[in-house]
Order: sequence, then structure tokens, then C-alpha cells
Amino acid sequence: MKPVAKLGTEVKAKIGQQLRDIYEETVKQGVPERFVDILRGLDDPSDDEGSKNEPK
Amino acid sequence: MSPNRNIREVMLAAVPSLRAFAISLCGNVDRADDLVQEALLRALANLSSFEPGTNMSAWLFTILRNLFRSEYRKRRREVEDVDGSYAEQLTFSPEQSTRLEINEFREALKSLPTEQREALILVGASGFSYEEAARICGCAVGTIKSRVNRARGRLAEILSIEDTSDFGPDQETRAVVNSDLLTRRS
Repeated sequence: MKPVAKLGTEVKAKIGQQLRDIYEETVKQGVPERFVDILRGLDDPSDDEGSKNEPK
Repeated sequence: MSPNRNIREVMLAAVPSLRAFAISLCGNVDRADDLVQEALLRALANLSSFEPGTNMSAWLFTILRNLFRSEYRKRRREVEDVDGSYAEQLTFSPEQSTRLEINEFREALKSLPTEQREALILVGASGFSYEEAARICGCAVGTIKSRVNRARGRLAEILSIEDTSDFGPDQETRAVVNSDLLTRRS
């Protein structure tokens, strides 16, 4: 295995920041309705509000 | 709150991060969402094998990752989002990085071997420890560490990120200001 050059903290910080920026962009979108619908099955039937939205 | 209701809440809470992981893995929003859906359905069908008290999020990540790997072996290269269609679907407000930087970073990330990419994302963005990431990927902690290091090294190389030279003064100032704000806020 090729040895990896030691990276400075600034390089790591920069990479980490961009990685989190990309990630957070998706996380900020929350939970699309289709997944709410899938998990709705876990509720007690009595809890079902019956509001069926079309999955995206 | 019934146990099922509780599980639902925990699963729902994990979905945004699970999607982000899936998108980073396969580089395509639609495919990533199908993967998340498949993972959730599989998790629901196998709820009895989930050990209460353990990390539900890590469990879901493991399922999704295994699904991706088995599918990836089948489909190999067609997985890549050549047109960058998922980049277009995202609206990005550049606060820390510029749009161009982000696109370049995305491309660079895609070029990494899958096992390096997943290790870097799990540790660097999903917030898992090296130990948790190792369990999710079914490998040794040392392997994860070395994959993360290699991933970082490769990205730095592709993006020509070097100490100081690529850190403009305004970015540095911003970082200082941001951390200062954070400190004051908390």
C-alpha cells in the first residue's frame, strides 16, 4: 500500500467543510413524503390520520 | 407513545442523513431515494433483528450500505451521474464554499473508490465514530482510518488543496468569525 502523505489541519478542515456543505444540503431537505408514507405503517391504526399524500 | 410509534420517530429522524449518505454514494437523487426506500422497507421487514438500545441510525446505514454494495456489484459503472443531474436539482446557498468549489468537490468525491468515499462520508459528514463506521462497513477500525486518510489525500491532490495557499484571507477571517459567533452563541 502506498504511504499517504501527512495532511495539514487546514487541508483536512477545508475538505471536511466542503463535505459537510454537500451533506447538509440534502439533510436540510428533510423527509420526503414518500418515506413518511412508508413509515406510517408503523403507527397504531388508531393514530392514522388517513392523510395520504402522493409520494414525490 | 407506543413502541412502534417510537421506532417510527427514530427512523424518520434518520432519513435526512440516510438520504445524504445515499446521494453521496450513488451520485443521483432518484436512485438514492429508491435505495433509501428499499432500505427502509427491508428494515421494517426485519425489525425483529434490530437490537433495542443499539444505534438505529447505524443499523439503517448498514442496511443501506449493504444494499448499495450488492447492487453496485451488479451494475458497476452505470451508477455514476455523468450529467451531474443531481447537482442541478439542488439549490445551494453558498455560505462556506462557492458553487464552483462545491461542484468540483462533488466531481472529485465521485472519482474516489467507493470504499474510500463511504468511509470519508460516514466519518466526515454523517458523524459516526471510526468504530461505528467500521461496524457499518464490516471492516476493521484501522481499515476505516486508512481509507479516510487516503480519501482525504486523494481529494487534496485532485483539488490542489494545500495548506495556506488555498485558504484566502477572507475565508480564514470568515472561519474565525464563524467560530467566534458559535462560541458566543453557546
